[in-house]
Amino acid sequence: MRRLNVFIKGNVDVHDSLVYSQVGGEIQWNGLNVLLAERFPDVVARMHHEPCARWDRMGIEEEAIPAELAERGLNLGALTLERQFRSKMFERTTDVVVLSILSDVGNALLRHRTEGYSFCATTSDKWSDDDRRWVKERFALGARLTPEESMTNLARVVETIRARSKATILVYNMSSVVPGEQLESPLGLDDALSTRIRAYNLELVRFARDHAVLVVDVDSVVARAGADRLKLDTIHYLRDGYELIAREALRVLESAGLLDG
Amino acid sequence: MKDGVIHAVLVERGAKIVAGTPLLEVRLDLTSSAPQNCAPVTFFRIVSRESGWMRTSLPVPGTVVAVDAELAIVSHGENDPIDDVTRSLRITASAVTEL
Repeated sequence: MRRLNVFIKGNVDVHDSLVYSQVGGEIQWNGLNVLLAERFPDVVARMHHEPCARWDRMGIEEEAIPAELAERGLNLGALTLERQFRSKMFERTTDVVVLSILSDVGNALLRHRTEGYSFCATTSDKWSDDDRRWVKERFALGARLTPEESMTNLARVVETIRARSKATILVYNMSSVVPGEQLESPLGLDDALSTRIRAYNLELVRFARDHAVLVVDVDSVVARAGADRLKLDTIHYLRDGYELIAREALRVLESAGLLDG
Repeated sequence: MKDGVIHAVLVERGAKIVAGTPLLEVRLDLTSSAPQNCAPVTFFRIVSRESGWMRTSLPVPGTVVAVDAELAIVSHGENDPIDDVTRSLRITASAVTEL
């Protein structure tokens, strides 16, 4: 049995398509290994997943966790400080790194007003009033990144990965279909998520050309098969959606020669 | 989906609105139908596509509103009678990142 070591640094799109999708406590889709068992029974993917705050807070440059932040013990959900500042990406041999534009499309970071470091908090609604006050006194919420800024950060990420690993790098784009959207005019909606996703997808095309990363074209495969039956909301898919995306990721891995005997 | 929660009110009673005026943002949470680690929550902004006057207040943030519920009344003229609502306001709606 041959092992394909896959490090997945991303959120629901990459996790639920490649590792597993669980809804209401029940496994809906069991990930890439189901497909490998069908088509490449002598290959098994050993997957390690870490959530991703944003490409400028990946934790792959092994920064120290700021002491006052660690001591405060904020509830950060799955985006723990370890995962934001001290990724395990290079602790093991990795054949494939999978990334996604999702965290950069959606997340803004909190930046320390005097120290300058930043972190991501997507669970502030679960904090105590005291924690909220503590954060507000010390941190300011930064802007979401433009696609160009995001790709500049991705270039640094790719450079760091290539300096320490021979892994093939895959990047998921996003389906721009937003269930429920009625957007015949962009007036008042310059920041519509569907428009933002399209801009990121286009910038990722340019990035892939210049930096030789491989794109898992989620936008295209979901559009071809029908977003209305595959998507729950903007970023979540139903079981068949995750399977379809995993099949596309498998196709990309195969085309890169990673599944050759 | 049966309802949403008012997340932000972006225009006040008595204000003049035009095409492109953002009116409110609504938080839609599909957790009850699809509970999962990464909660399926989306924020939608509702924007007017026509001019008029906000004659009543939108529900305050935190209010749960049903699908198709009447949220406020807009009239063509500032002082038009509002006791006989004729149609829905023409709007656009799209997901946005959280304010």
